[in-house]
Amino acid sequence: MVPSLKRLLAALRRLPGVGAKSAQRIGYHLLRAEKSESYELARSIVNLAERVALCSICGNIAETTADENRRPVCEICSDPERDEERLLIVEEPYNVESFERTGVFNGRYHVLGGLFDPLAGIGAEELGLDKLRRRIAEAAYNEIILATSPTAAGEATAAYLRELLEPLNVRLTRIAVGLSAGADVDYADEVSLRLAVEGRREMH
Amino acid sequence: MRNAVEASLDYGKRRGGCKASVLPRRRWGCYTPSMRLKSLELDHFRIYERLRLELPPGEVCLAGANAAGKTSLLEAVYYLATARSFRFAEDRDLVRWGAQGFGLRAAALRDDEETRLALAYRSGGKTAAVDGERCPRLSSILGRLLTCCFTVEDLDTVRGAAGRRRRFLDLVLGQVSQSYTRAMGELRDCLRQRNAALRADPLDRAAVTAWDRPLSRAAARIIELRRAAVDELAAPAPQIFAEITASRHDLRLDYEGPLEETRLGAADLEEAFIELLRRRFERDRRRGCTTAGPHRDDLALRLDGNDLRRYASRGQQRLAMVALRLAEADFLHQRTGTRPIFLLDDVASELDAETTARVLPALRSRVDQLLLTALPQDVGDLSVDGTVLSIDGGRVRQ
Repeated sequence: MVPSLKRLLAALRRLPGVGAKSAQRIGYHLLRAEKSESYELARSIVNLAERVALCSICGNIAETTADENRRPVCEICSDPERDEERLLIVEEPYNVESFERTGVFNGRYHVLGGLFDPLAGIGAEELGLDKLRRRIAEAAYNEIILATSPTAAGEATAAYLRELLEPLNVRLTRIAVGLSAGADVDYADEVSLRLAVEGRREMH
Repeated sequence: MRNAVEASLDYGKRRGGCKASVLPRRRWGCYTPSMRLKSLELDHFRIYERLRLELPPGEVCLAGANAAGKTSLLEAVYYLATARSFRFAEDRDLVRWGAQGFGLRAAALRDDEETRLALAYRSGGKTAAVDGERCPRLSSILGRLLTCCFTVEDLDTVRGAAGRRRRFLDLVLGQVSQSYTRAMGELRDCLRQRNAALRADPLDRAAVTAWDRPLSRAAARIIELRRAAVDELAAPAPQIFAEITASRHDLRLDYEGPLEETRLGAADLEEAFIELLRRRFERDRRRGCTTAGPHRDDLALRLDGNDLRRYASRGQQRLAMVALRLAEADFLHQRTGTRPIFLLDDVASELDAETTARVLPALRSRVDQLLLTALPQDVGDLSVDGTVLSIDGGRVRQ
């Protein structure tokens, strides 16, 4: 194999979900394709690396401006129309997209960029929780919604946040767990059913 | 929206497929379906290079000299049921010398319904398939082939470290409750993370206690299920013990853990467990690990008030274990509505002739298929009610 192709395949294989076979297929495809296709791909990758950064306020992804002195701010944080009273805390930037698609939430977000994982050395410092605490202390939110997944790591992170934010005297809520919409009670597992009963609410 | 026909179809599939955990405890009339092994295939397992065996209905006795491969056959059946060895062996030690991995396959009948099970081990790990479809998780194979066993190693279940008795409970519950298997997985994850946080330098106390909630949730669930299982195993135990010893003794089982005296219900157990973790924080920090939880609990076995784990003759320990295994067969039957397959390894050398003569009828009344092993000279004493297969050097003669 020629060195240039070898180098590309090695780079491709570092991408998530790309194994040796896929890398080879992509590599040979690019060899055969129009040069413009390769240039467009390369430009968009470089552009992504140069123009997209994490929002300095919430940790979501943000497009940077030409002005290097301005810190990156995402679309949601720079939108004056959004509700200033509620903050929703999620794990990853793509979780923001999911909540946005529902249209149910019009407040602000905070993206942790991961969950507690002591084995991998990820704790409060790596997740920037001190910065989050300061952000909440300095603003006047009426409600903080903890929207990490109801997995062990998600629950542990939520538990930590509760301890951290409780002294700030702000209302803390946790997203509901139980049955998913459209689920059949007969098919639900015991744990979900139990949580669904525990989290029941008054009918109005 | 699914239509009703479709829904009723997969409902039937689910019930028939012996998905134990979703089944409530069932009461049956005089008739109960039984589990029966129809065929067994081994590749590179223990001394077997390749074995293809059709099992006749009814009792099957495998007769052969020592090291002929009798126990390994039972072990293969048990492995298909639980994805673990009853010999407390590492998976790689089960691979035939010189091979890279092993494969096990079986066809099992639950009444007329056939299920095909396959399990393969390579150095990378284990994969399972049911009816030709690969399972996304290994745990999906648990509970498909209901089995119960009494082996030479069972003496260690009584005398050995607490881990042996926890494993006994894990293997019993793993066959009837997916929720148990899942909670055990969560417990393991939470413990590893909490222990890593305990050893972090500098220590962030809140980063440790953050795991208390998910850990306690899994722990409460496990303790609740283990307690229920222990109570159900304990109920018939004295009567079974009397049946196999022809004498009256009080055989008792109790789940042992730091919260057992409180006898709290599952809902309160979670909070109590969080409180326990909080109280033990300093100790946990010094040791660098979580020192209380289902991973430290034990099963107490007492005969007339004496702790069988420490103060008993081997004979008593063995008899208690046989009684426990029979109670396990009842438990599996009660929980799944199906009578399990029973594997009995070398009973003639484990028990005296009189006891054997009492144990075998007790077993035969409980299960439909009994697979047992014996030395050729002992076969006559067992009055086998079925087929005797002779086995030698990893080959079976039908």
